[in-house]
Amino acid sequence: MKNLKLQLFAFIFLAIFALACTKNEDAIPSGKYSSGVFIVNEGPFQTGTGTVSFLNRETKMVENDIFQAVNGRPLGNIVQSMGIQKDKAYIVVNNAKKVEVVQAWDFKEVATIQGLEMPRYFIGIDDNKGYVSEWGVGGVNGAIKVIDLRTNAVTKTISVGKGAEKMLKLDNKVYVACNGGFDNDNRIFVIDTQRDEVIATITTPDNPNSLVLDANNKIWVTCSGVGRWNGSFVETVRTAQLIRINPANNQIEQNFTFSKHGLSNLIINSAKNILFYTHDSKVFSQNINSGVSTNPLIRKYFYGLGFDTQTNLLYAADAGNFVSNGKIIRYNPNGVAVDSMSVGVIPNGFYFR
Amino acid sequence: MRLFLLCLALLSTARFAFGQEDSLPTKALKEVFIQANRLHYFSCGNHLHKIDSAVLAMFQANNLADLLASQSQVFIKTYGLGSLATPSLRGTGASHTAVLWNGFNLQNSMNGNVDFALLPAFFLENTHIQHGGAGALFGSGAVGGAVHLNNTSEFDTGFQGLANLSAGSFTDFMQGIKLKISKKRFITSLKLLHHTAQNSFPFINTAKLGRPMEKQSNNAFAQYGFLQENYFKINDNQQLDLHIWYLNADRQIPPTLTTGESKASQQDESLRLTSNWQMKRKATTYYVRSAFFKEKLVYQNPDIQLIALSKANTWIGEAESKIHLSPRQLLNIGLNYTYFQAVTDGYRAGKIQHRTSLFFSYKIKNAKDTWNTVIGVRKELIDKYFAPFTPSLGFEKIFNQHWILKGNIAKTYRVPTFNDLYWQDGGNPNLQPEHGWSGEVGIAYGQGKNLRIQLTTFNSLIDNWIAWLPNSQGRWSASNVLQVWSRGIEVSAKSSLTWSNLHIRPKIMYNYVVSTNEQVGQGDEQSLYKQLIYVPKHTAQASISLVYRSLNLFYNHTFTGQRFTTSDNTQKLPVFTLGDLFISHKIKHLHFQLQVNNLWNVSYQQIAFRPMPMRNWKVVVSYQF
Repeated sequence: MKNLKLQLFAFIFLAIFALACTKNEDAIPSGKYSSGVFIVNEGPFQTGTGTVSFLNRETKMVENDIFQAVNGRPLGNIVQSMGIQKDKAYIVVNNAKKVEVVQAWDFKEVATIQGLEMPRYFIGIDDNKGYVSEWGVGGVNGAIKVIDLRTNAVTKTISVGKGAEKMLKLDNKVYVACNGGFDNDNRIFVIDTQRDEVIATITTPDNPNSLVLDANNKIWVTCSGVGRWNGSFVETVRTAQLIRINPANNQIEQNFTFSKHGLSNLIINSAKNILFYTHDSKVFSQNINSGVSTNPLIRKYFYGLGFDTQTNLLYAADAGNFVSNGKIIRYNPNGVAVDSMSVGVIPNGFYFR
Repeated sequence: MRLFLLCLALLSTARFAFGQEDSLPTKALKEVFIQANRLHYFSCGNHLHKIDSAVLAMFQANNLADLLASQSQVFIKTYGLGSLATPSLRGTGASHTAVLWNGFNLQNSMNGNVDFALLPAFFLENTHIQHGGAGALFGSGAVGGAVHLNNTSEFDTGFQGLANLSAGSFTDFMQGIKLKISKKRFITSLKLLHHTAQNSFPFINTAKLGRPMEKQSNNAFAQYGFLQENYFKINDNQQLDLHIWYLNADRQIPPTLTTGESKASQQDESLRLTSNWQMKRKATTYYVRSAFFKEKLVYQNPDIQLIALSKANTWIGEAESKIHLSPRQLLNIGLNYTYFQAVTDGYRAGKIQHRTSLFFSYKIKNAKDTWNTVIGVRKELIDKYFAPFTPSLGFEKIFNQHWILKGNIAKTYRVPTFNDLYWQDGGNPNLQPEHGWSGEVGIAYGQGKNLRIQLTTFNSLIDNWIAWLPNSQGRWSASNVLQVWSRGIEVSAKSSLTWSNLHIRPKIMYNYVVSTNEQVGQGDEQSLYKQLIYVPKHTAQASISLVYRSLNLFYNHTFTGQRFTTSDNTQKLPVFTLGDLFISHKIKHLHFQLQVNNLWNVSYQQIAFRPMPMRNWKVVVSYQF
């Protein structure tokens, strides 16, 4: 009991100390982009550049291609995603094989991380370290590149499955969904973030692609299955599945099977009890305690989804014709459209600050 | 005007000495057998431009793309130094310009394109650009116009030869030899070419942090090939000719400013065999010709573990006749059968196509030779369905020795390419041919050799335009979705002045092209009524040639207006102007030439994020014997 009190005291002391320290250290400068929504636009395929748009929540105004506006140069071909760690934003440019580092509050260029092959996503581990998932050479040599955020250099390559895609950080572990890249895979790799080593692999249904953590600390994963072009349409070879993993033992506890292939863009609401995902050109929502809904939330094809916990709004990316500017549509959690804004070419994801 | 001259030359002698540049070789008609029957006798009312032979000679160490980009009104879309270059005529796409070599269409059955960067000017003799639709005469693909590449040869000129050496910036070396034996009844000739270049030109990488000066990487180019031709005069009325053309190119594919380092490369190999037999019988001339083309393309990209092999074979058999019904009437009837075969992993299986077309043209002129009219029709069967019935009507009217009026209206069509039909994923076997109408009216004013002005206005509509667009799941597939309306003006003016030994020849050309989407697919509304991408509204060229004895100075300046790079016209590339200078001197058999490209050291992009070289040079030495 005494011991516990001492522990509690020590904890509180440390917490206050830490808080005080971070307050001093993390006096993050503020700027035009300190608060708002970043929209990542892949840009036209093959040629051209992707862009980042910024939505000011108060004015509801979208500023397109803020990287070019601030830095006077394009981001590069196929902007896949963006991650924010501390005061910096890390923009992953797939076909340019790089990550552009900018100051998150004003988007001023800081550095370019090179030495990557088909990079996909960035996740910050701590102030000094980040992970970039990549498909690797040939799109089938998936890896996690460990980045030293002080030098912006790759310090280690952790080999994982084909098509290392989205990542989820939980305590000192990172779960990497391997969606197959240019092939197929059915594994989630678990990496110890202190040793930067794979400590477990979880066998899943085909092609896991995105993962979220729910209110019960369980991991949900969308697995897209396998589709094949049969000459006139894409037929389902293996159906999609939504699974729930218990991170305590890495076991799949629950499994929902869909009638077709294709399941992705998994996100979760503020209360972490409602999942949203896209399947069969529609958006579905699902309570973590119930089954798959037969009624879609929105009957429209979207290229990306996001959930803004500050405003409780669902963001959906409409890539339109994939060659000219797309738009975003904001919905309330019941699927009622609120408004829409024009963004860059092929919007695919949202990052909320 | 150009055509008009030809039409005149056909049955009478030319009235005006308009110089050789724009006219077909009227004087040589009797000595040279014309293979391109329809271009020479039945094209009427279209704006036709012949590349001046002196200009062609200056471009001996360049490719067709370089030649046309600076010396014609064809807009050339080039992806970089040595990279893919495709034509755009009158605001249409790359596959909307037919490219005919001695009358045979070179457009690749798989992608509909001809890469002008792979056609060395060294192999060319007669180059004509026919603006406007010519579907009745030349079939599928002659929508925006046609580029005619014809080899001709004169009998009884003896032994001739030429050795050509060139060296240029970025480790560019080219060696060429031409040999010809021309007897009274027999000609045999050989052209050999070898060309290598590193093309590692410096540029400022404006897309990188710190904007470093870089050298273009992975951009080497190597090409070799030969053209062997034989002409036999069997008797006074019969001729047989055989041509063998082989080209082999190995190119690296460089990165763009926005992509990472590239390891991709492409090998193109083509073998083209053609034969042509013709016989004159009183009022009728018969032509029987056949061709076999074998093309192979290997694209390799280690980054995505891709080695893609495409092979295409084409057999063409054609028979046609030219019949003088009366001194004022000429008739052309012909039949073409073409068999296409293509194999690539992308189709999952080999694909074939049979095309049979029947064509007919009738030409009538008045007794005074001051007007003539051509009516043409074509009907083509593609496997089991018919392409649209394709009529055309052209006229040319001479008012007096200064003024000429001409016009043409033609149905046009383009058969879907194999990629459009069969590529997996996304190929659509149910595609219909694109079809449309193209019309033009032109007026020309001439004052002998001193001044010639030509103005053509055109209007064309293409329906069922095939575009690759994503479906609701983001899967790309081909469909007959667009309607494109293209209209504009083409103006050219040139003059020729002489003071004793000094000849000055200034020339200007200007194009105004508005080419817009009139119908678009669902979800593509933002592209409606917008200008097509990479079609500049304004382009202009000006050149001046100064010839003093054997010294020649030629300066060419081109202006390229802004081009939109997205179909909703929200992004564009800026205007650029380029200057090229040629200085040449001839001493007996030796000919020296200095070529300076991009004289004003302009940094520009033809295609977004693909750097182009700054000022660069080339030295050419040739020995003629």
